[in-house]
Amino acid sequence: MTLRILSSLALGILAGLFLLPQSIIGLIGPVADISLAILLFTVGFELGQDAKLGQKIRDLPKVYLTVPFLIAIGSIVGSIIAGAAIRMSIGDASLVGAGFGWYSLSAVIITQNYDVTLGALALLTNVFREVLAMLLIPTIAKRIGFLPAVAPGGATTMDVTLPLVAQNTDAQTTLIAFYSGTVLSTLVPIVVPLIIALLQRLA
Amino acid sequence: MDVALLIGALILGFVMARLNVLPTTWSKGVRVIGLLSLLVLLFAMGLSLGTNSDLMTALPTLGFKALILSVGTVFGSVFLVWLVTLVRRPAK
Repeated sequence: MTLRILSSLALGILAGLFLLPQSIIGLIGPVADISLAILLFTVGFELGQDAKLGQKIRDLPKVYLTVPFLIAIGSIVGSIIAGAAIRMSIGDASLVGAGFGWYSLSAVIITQNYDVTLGALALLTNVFREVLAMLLIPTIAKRIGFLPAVAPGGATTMDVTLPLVAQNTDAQTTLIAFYSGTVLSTLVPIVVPLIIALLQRLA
Repeated sequence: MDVALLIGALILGFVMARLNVLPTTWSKGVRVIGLLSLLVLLFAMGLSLGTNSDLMTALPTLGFKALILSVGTVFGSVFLVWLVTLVRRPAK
């Protein structure tokens, strides 16, 4: 999956570099917009198909309801601190961190609405985050605990990294991971545009 | 991109699934459409990146920044969730 995604992107970059006539550039935006809307429709559809989604969330111990929000805050603060080390502004670093690992969505929103370069950085950062999650989930589950193993995957724990969480933790943690990924996936298209709106108002 | 359109598409998909408007056999089709639209989206993104000459010259420097930021997001999120497990350690 990740290979498909990376090759799709790489093909696009290569085509853009070497093949594409300049006159087609105007069409790229609308094509990206339409495919993003279709993508979000399918995400919503899959969420809606889970008839027990509400019950699953209600059955969780209440303290675990905070997990996705802790992951959201931790991701943004962690990104701000790491960003300070490489002299990035708080606003830009928090925007990149608010992708929560959902690289396709956060990068497109940032690219279309704010800045192409920052969108590319968000894409790379969140791709790296997913790869890091795949590498670290087993170790974190073993050495630190089951619940922290939900954190690195961010929004991707509702799909791509969920099998990894399931293999390395227990059923309850897997359910929390799915819930957390669902909440974080819902937060990305809300928080990223919110930060953009804030930054544009301040600029 | 109109954000309302994004959230609207998400809600429309959710509501259509809840109302069972489509036959249940379509769920696989929806997943395939999702994958295809993701690949088209990424290809289009690649195009917009590849045709941006400013960006392509900046790309070698972005890789390092992206690595630093991604490590920051992982550490920050793992740390906060770990803190909560300390506070709410189940009694035995």
